[in-house]
This record gives sequence, C-alpha cells and structure tokens, in this order.
Amino acid sequence: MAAPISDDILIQQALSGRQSACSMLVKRYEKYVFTLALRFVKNREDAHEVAQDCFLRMFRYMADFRGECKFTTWLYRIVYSTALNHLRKKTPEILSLDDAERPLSLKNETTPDASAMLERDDRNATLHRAIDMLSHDDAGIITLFYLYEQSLDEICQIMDISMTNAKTKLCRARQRLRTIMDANFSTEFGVRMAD
Amino acid sequence: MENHFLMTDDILWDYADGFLPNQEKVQVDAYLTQHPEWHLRLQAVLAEKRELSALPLEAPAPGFSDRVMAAWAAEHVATKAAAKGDDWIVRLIAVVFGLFVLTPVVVMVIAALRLSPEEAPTLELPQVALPIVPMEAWLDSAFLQYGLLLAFVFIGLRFLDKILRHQLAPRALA
Repeated sequence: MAAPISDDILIQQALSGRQSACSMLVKRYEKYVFTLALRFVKNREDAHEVAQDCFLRMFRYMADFRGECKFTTWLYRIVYSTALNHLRKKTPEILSLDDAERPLSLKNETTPDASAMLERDDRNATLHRAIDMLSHDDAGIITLFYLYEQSLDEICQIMDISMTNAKTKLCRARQRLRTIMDANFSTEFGVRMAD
Repeated sequence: MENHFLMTDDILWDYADGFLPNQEKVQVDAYLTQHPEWHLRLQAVLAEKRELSALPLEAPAPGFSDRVMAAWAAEHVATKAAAKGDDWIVRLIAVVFGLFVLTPVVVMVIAALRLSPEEAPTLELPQVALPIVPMEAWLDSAFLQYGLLLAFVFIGLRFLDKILRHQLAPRALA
C-alpha cells in the first residue's frame, strides 16, 4: 500500500493550483478542524460555518506558511482565531474576562445534539458532555493538549499566549473539568477525584 | 527517611503530563511509593488522560469537503475576476502616463519633420545641422503638469493599495 502523501507535498501542489491537493487537505483535516471549532462554538451549525471559513483562510494564506511550525499548529491557530472572531460577532458576552463565572451544573439543559449523544459510547459521551460544559477556552486547550497532542509550546503559538499562561489555563481547565465530572457525572464516570 | 513533600492533585496531573522538573519528579516518585492511595489516584489520572486522548473526533456533515471546495472555487473565480479588473486599471494608468511622457517627444518629431531645413532654426556645428524645437511651451503647459501630477497620484495610490493588501492581510488573520 502506498504511503500517504505528506502535508508538505500537498501544500506545494495546492500552491501550484492543483485542486485535488486542496481537496485532500480538507478531507485529511476536516474532522480535526470541525471538532476544535465545535469545542469553541458549541453548536454544530456554527462549527460548520467556522470550519469552512478556516479552510478558506487556509487556502488564502497558504503561501504565507513557511514551515516555521507544524502545519497542524498553523491550521489550529487559524481555527482558534476564526472561532474567536465568530464568537465575538455572535455573542460578545461569551468572551467575558472571567471564564470561571460559567455555570458548572447544566444537568437540566438540553442540547440539539442530545439524540446523537445517546448513540455514543457512554464514557465518551460523558466526557464530551463535560467538555461541552467548559468555556470555549478551557474546552479548546483540553482538546489541543490531550486529544490533538499539541505541546504547550505549540499551544502558546496557537492561542498566542505565554508558556506560563498556557500552563495555568490548562491546569484551570483540568480543575474545571474535574469539578464538572464530580458534580454532574460522578456516578456515570465511576471515578471521583476528591480533593 | 521521611518524605515531607506535600502532594496535590495539580502536582499529580503535572506529573502525569510530564511538566515537572526532574527534582520534583523524583520527590513525587518517592511520595507515590510511600503512599499507595496517591498511587491509585495517579492511575485514575492516567486513565482519564487516556480517555481524553482517545475521544473520537466529531465528523462534519456529509459533503462538507465538497462544499468547502465549491466555496473556494467560487472565491477563486471572484478573486481572478477582481485581479483582472485591477490589471485593467493599472494598464489604463500606464497608457495615460505613457501618453503624457511620449506626446512631447512625438510632437517634437512631427514638428521637426514638418519644418523645412531653411525654416528650422539651426545651430551651426561642423558638418551637422540639428533642428531646434522650443520645448518651453510644452514644459510650461498646465495641462501636462497637472496630467503628470494626476498620473503620479494614481500610481502612488495603486502602489499603496498593493502594499496594504499584501502586508496587512496576513496580520488580519491573527
């Protein structure tokens, strides 16, 4: 079986105008971009809009990508900035200075994706629901670090923050996730991380 | 030896994430061997980390990539059309500018051709007779001066526009 074409080659081909390379890049990263967008905007419809905007920006500015960082880091940075712009336009209040003000208990809330959630594996669904209850920043940093395996240094580049700030944000996000898990899903999840 | 290290959940997570410096890592290792209950907590943390890393990615709606490519194609066509429009403006400016520069030369040549050698003021040089055409009228012409000024302003604005588009667009991304 032939090895998959590397990102660098696809980028070169896309820059030379080959549509199939552009299409392959979209297909390769659509789930990553969409999942991260969804973590930020918390809504599938908006996440589609953000993800599409991300890919269009990716094509527009691809010539500016000089390989100083990983392609994924560059792409996630686009997702982050696009999602933030989207949130600023849609709901300015969501970007309040203190994310800790967000309610941690949302047991009675129903989401449009409730039926889809039921189909997922229970534990995954529980974690998904817990992450959905986090603020966009917390959910984003947890996703970038644990799911996308981006290093702290790369997260600094994506979110344009200092190393100390990234570490603090990640630590707080973990604490809030744990609080949500304990408050809402401790029986479902089985493990209670008592302080 | 008694280990006076004070363990917290955050330290445990930092340990699991590999953030701790070596010295602190050694202290945590020692603490964990002496406190099995914290060792159990570490196992729980590691399990939670594994679950976070193994979360399935969300898939966009079917046909998403096709829609992206269609949007990109539409944008590409629009950009090309806009670029063609830009080229047309630049060419027009170049033509206007060229006319202003070339007209005096052309007029001078025509005038020189129309004049008979007797009528043309000449400057006697050894074996060479050059027609002399007065240029002052053309250079003093307000039409020429304002025209040149206008052309330079146009070119300057176009240049500024190009710079702003290329320099500021990538920054707007961030």
